[in-house]
Amino acid sequence: MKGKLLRRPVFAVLAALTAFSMLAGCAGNSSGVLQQGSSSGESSSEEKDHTLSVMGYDRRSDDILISERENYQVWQEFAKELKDRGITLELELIPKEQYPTTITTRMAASQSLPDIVNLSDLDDQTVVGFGKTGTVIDVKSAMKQYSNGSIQKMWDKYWPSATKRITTPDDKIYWFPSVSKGILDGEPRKGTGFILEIRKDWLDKAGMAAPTNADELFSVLKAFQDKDANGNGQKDEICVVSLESYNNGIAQTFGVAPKLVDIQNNTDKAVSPWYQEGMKDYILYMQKLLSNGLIDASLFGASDDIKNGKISENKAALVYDYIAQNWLEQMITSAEGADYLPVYVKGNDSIQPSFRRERSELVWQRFAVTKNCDDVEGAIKLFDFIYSDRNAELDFWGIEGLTFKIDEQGNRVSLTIGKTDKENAESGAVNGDYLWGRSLLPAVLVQEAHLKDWLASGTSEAKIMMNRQADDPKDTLFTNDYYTTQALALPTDEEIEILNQYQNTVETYCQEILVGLIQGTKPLEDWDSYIKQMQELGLDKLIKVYQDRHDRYMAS
Amino acid sequence: MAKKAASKKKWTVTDVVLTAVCLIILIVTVYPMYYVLILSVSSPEAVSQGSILLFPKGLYFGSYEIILKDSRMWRAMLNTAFYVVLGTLITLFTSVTAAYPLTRPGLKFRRLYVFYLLLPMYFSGGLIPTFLVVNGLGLYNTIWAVILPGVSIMYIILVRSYFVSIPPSLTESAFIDGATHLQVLMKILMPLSKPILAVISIYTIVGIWNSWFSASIYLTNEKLHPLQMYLQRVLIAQSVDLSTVVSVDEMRDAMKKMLTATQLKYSMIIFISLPIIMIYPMFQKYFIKGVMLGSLKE
Repeated sequence: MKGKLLRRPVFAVLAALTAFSMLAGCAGNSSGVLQQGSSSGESSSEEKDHTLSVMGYDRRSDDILISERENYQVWQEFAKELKDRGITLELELIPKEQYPTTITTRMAASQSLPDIVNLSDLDDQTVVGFGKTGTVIDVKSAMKQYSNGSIQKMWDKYWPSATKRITTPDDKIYWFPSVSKGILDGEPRKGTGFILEIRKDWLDKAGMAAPTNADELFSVLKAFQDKDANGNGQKDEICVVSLESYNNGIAQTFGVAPKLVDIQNNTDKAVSPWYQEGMKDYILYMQKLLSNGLIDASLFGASDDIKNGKISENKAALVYDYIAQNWLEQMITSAEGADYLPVYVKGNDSIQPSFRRERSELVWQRFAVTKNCDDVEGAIKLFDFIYSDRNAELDFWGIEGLTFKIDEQGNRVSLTIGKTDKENAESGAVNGDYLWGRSLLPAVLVQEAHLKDWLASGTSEAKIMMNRQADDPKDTLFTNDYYTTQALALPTDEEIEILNQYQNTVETYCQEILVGLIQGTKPLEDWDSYIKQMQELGLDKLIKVYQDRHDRYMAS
Repeated sequence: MAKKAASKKKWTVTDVVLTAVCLIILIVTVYPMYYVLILSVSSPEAVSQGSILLFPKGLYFGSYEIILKDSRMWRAMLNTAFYVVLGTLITLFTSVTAAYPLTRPGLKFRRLYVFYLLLPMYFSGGLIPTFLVVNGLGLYNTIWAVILPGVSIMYIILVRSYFVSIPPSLTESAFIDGATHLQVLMKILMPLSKPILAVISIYTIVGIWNSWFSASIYLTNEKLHPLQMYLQRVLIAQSVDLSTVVSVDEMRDAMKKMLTATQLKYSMIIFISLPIIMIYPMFQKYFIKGVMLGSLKE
């Protein structure tokens, strides 16, 4: 009887709890488990403390964990510098592999956001979109109000392109970028790049010289197969390059741009490979390589894992990578003495080869101040320090006597070159770039290098010297260059619409045609019809958008 | 006599074709797992060269040694075991306690309750609304964010269908003898419902064991990560999208990651799959009997 009397109240309570739990989800920006931006800011006094919450990756290297940052002297120095400025950081460290998922969800939900967040996994347009909805703030106006001028001064001194690259058409800036600049022996570097590399040990074995033109390259590749350069009894020495892309080194020997729409540096023109003089010659050459078994058809669309497998199997006669790379040889565990030699090959006598160059002056990544930041003044103060000579020294060089030393000429010399991350972690010889740079806050890297250090690094002299040549602003060989990060202003709304409407379709069609032409399934004689179709799909509109963005960038 | 006749049954063309098809399906189904197994015990050089097809080359158990010595793996496994046990208990509890009232003839607004339960099975709120609810309830970065959302309405329907299939005379006679609803549920219905409870348990165990998506969205604390998150992190750590690399330093880091412990991921896949492979046979008899039970009517 008693049980029956209690039933109704009990069920009523349960029903109420169910209803309450439904309403709980409708709560606004809540106290969840996550800390809200817990900044303090009572007055505009110089002496006030600033506590800022920062969210980023938990590490850049598997051996150097940001959670163990207190063990490293460079972090202690960094924290001291911040403390002197009244700044305390509360870190939210997310495992790096999980970060893209986490940040996409949190930003889309616009809830439980920290004061400063690493948005490098999102693209420019997405972050600008967050800026327009107010999820991230316009830091340009915040800088005008609170900055002591250090940020802009540093950008103007080392990275004059920084402001241009991150300012929207309506004159707003929604993030702070990481910045990097290369200096070699006191002179600015133009930037290294990508080039074809051929097996030098196979050349020596075959008694052949490095190729300098397309015919010689073909002869050398054929000889590798005929003479069984890898000694496994099969004709499997092939070119391991991206076969379905315009950016594979072989295309560049014919002066072809590396992207569907790219900015030619020496003419400031937006170009497409389909309109370039060497494109047909490139396709014919690839057909020749394919028909002679010097390209493996199964590598069309293959992932990097599969291509790397071919390199590991000691089958890659020709590859395309950074000039001074020294990691591909390490993959070839089944053969001794494997060595790749960079080669400058001209596909066509009348066309200068193109060169895909990485800017020495890099502006990349995105670190935004979110709407939850109550202490914008503190955030700007933090970035004033980040973009300062002192932080640049901690970030790139680290601690004198531990990670670098000063030589007799007064130059800084790294003490960690040639050592593994694990060795550096054990000795504590870690710079800021492994702790806060690129992970939590922008990296500010003024990379002063010396040729003698490069030569002592273990990379072959041939690679170092070609790298030096390509890097030299006075060089006359690598002048038909295209930057890996294009010199483009952020797109307007209309341009975003055009890009969204046409880019995917044009890229898909063009790639289909390229692969079909190389494989021979599409006749070259129908070239004009393919171009006409590309134009109908919007190729010219895309070129115009890129040209306009580049023009605005150059004019700003 | 009948046995002799059966053993002398001649193979027809149909038998041959069916057997061949079954063999093909068997090979297609089993070979990928076998392939991963032989890669996990082959030498790393042979694995990176891609030269293994039917048999392992250069027996190597170093990867298993690395896994067994990795404290993060054990922590992830303990987390998963905890989530599995707790999640299964909660699922069983909610399924049974929600299903039982729906079987009682005198329940008012039964249709409304059934509608309330069925609607989310057709329309889900989606990721962001779910995230807002989980975060709003204060579950973000807690174990409850991966356990509670796993409770499924389908299991309530299954249990209800099974309860309905039990002869009502059993429960009616119990009520006549003065049994309460709780006694009827615990002493009559539950003992008879072992097959369906076993089915729900195995579905839940496998589901929670294999889940990583909830953890990737809601658990940023590495110490709470389940086993699949650990596996995903190791796999992602080794596969890098080279097209996103913008500098020589990043390329160097990326290549290093891809080269190191290529073979480790295969060993991990085998090691993580083993517990489920071992548990399944224990539930098999219930699974076979119970998988169709929801459809039986008296």
